[in-house]
Amino acid sequence: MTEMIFYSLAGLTILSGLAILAGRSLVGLGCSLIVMLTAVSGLIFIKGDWTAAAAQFILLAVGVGCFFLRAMRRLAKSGVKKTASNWVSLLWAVPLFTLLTWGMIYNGIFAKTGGDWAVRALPRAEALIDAGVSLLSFFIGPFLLLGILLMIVLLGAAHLIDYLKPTDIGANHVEKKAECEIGKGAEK
Amino acid sequence: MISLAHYLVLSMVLFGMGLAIMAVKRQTLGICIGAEFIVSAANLNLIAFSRDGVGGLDGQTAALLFIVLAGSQVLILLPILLTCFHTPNR
Repeated sequence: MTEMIFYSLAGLTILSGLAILAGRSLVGLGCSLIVMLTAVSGLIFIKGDWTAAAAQFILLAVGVGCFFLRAMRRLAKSGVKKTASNWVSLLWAVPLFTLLTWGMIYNGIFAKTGGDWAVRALPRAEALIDAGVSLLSFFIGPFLLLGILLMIVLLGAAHLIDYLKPTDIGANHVEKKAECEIGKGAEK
Repeated sequence: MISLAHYLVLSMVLFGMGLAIMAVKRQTLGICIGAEFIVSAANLNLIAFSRDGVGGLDGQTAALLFIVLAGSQVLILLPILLTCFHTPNR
């Protein structure tokens, strides 16, 4: 069972990489990236590291997913045509989420019966405490640096939001372009 | 049984793909995505070595830090790039 899930997730990861190599649309690139990140989090989950899998899934897949959804909305507003290939590429996510959900259910059922993978994947309190102690002792330097980096990221994001406020990138962009063209026509 | 070798081969493939994406894609966005592939390959390696008893718990903790680092990289770089590409002349 573990082998089957491993090979499926590995296949999805490689296929999404190939899709990124071959694809050209922004939406396709984003969807393939999300699939790759989620599949890698599934692979980490199978290996038994719950904390890293959860961090990978929440921070990267959900974060990047939300970002790309927003980018797609903006692109749709700014007049970029919705092509069939853009939306078909969204179907990538379906088999992946089915696999992950089924894997979770399998883990939930077999955890109490002592299945091989389930026992490996179960988080142990001692392991989590050890990870916390390691993070706050040996890794205290990188931990602090990462905190500073995240603060800079938050400040940068706040600055970006402030920067984007005056001009709404969306329908206004198209309207302004049309106004400019009208203005040019009047000048001529 | 999935062994360490399986994860090593997969991370090698991921690393190669990341390099290929960075080489083939000329857009900055493509290069960022290639970098994500490479970071994911490194994370897989760290966790695989850590879980198989070679690196202890250090690998998992380092992977956690790398994931946060990669996440912040993506979340700050992509909006900046899209802002540059789609903001009208100011």
